[in-house]
Amino acid sequence: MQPGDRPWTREQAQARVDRIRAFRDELAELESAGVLRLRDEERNHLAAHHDELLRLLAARFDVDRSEAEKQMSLGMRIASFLGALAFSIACFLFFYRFWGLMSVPLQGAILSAAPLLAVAGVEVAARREKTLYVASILSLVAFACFVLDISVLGSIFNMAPSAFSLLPWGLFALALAYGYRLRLLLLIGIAVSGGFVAAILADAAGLDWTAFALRPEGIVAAGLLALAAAAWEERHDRPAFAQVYRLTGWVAVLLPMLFLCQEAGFSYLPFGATAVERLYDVAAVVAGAAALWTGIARRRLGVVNTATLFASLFLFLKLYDWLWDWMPRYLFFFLVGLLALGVLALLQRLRRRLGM
Amino acid sequence: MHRGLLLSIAIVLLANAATLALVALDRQGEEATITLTERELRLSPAGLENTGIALSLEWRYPRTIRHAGSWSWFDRTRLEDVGFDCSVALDAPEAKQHYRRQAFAPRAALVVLEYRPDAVPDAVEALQPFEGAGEPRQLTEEERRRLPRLAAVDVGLDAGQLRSRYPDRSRFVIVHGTVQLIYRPEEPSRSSTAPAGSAPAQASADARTSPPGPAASLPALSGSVTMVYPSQIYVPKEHRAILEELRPKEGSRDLYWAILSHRPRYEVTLTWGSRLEPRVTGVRRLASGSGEE
Repeated sequence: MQPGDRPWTREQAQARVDRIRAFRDELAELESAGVLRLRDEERNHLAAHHDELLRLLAARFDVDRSEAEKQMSLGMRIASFLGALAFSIACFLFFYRFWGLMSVPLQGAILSAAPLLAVAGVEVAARREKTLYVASILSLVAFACFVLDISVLGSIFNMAPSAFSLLPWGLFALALAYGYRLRLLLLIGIAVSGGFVAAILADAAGLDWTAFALRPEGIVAAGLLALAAAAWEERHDRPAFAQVYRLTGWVAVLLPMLFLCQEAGFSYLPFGATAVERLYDVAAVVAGAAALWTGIARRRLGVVNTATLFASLFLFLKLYDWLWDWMPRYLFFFLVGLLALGVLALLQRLRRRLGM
Repeated sequence: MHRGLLLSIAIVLLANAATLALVALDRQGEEATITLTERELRLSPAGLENTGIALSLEWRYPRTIRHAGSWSWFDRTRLEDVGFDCSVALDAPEAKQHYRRQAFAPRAALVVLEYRPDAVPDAVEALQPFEGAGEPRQLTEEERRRLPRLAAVDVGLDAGQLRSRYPDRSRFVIVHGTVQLIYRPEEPSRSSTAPAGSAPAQASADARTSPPGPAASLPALSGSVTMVYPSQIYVPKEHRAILEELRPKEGSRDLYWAILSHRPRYEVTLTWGSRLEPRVTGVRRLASGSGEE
């Protein structure tokens, strides 16, 4: 397969490079053990094919061809994130330093121009640089400028905070993420859009929307939407985006359950507190099992880890509820330790059965 | 042109246009116009890092300091008006669970603020947030002088209904806010400490939805206004000259008390539009000791 065969993403190209590296290492091991010996002509042909493929992939996607390059890339990602954070803070502080000296029309013009300029910068950077490090920095700055734009306009005109301000912020982050294949912006877009879904539900229920985290069922709803989006992305062959949706989706579905099964005050449901808490006990077990099963069956390590962490926390909370008051402390923690061993044994069995 | 670029530009332009359209809509109508003084609109300190001027809107409960727990008018009827379910009797076994769940999250509501320059309380209850109002005490002269005269007097969900109840647009303004239900399973007896008939004692008694009997530990239900929006009012450049001169410098010692100790030095006219968003429409310097009491 050649890079030009289909519209590859950088992640797919990197996966291919990793496979080639692993193949070469294993081939060298097999040859040194005498298990396999290729003729010189075959070895040279294979090496030439892989070299050409690596060259093409590196030229088109700027992939990491060695472990050292990978580590450098991680360092560059951290540096670009910190840079983006610093630039965003600089934008906020710059505006607040001078805004009092400007008339309202000038303030409005600067506020709306800032994200547009930053977006233009993203476009220029994306055209010039395949790795998208600079584009990623500028896209975060663009997002920060847009948040500043709408929130300061609200302050200038003394508007009451509205849940609807979250909608354009979320859509903007998603537009940049899809337009330039930026996973960090996708994560921000999912989080802000999820917040919008939860805030709108709180608003519709007559609550103060800023307190949407106190009714986390809205976050569960947003998580289910993210899981649906993950399935959609998977079908459209965008595994990197599907992974981000899937992980945020499962976290958003599972995490609120830990609160809802402990305290009915968090719930919209109009039933008695005990009924609500027991209902969420069942929902937590079902959702946790579903996450664990799909994670193992489809070999998704991130989902398995998320589900395992959730199951451990859930079991710890339940044990605390049931046993803490009457059991000696040493026995309680001994039981928790035994439970951890039980979870470990169960996971090992599942792993063996599925050949993970 | 890149699709992501076009889409993100369109979102920025649409969001800005929508915000400005809402501002224009607000300015189509005039909900109320009230002139407040430094007591109700306090200046933020000047600093190099933030050159904008915002006035902090100060308001209180009519007969007690707003942080205290008792709200004489915010009873079961008002709680139901703003969407709380108060159908369970206070002494029912399930009452604690029923009301505690509702007390968990604040609700959005409209709050009526009344401006009465002549209404300053003689006494307030001690500050004991959410624990009951505490012992009443007389206000000092300085406290009387600096208490805001803008008070929350009613809540609801329908601006039209509230306006028909409070038609004076130069005295009452309707603002967005948040309200919270307060449920006290046991109200400690205060009859031995508060003199009968005193304002705070009466306020505390009114707060109970069941009449207080000889055993003053009946469960009590009331509401409180926890926030009004916006809490800060931005002053545009054309109105900032006077306030700029009077603005305390950031980091100066005893800044807060310095602001509070003197008589009001300015008055600001605020106009609330049809979407209940205020804007500064005038600023006037007050002569020192101009009788603003």
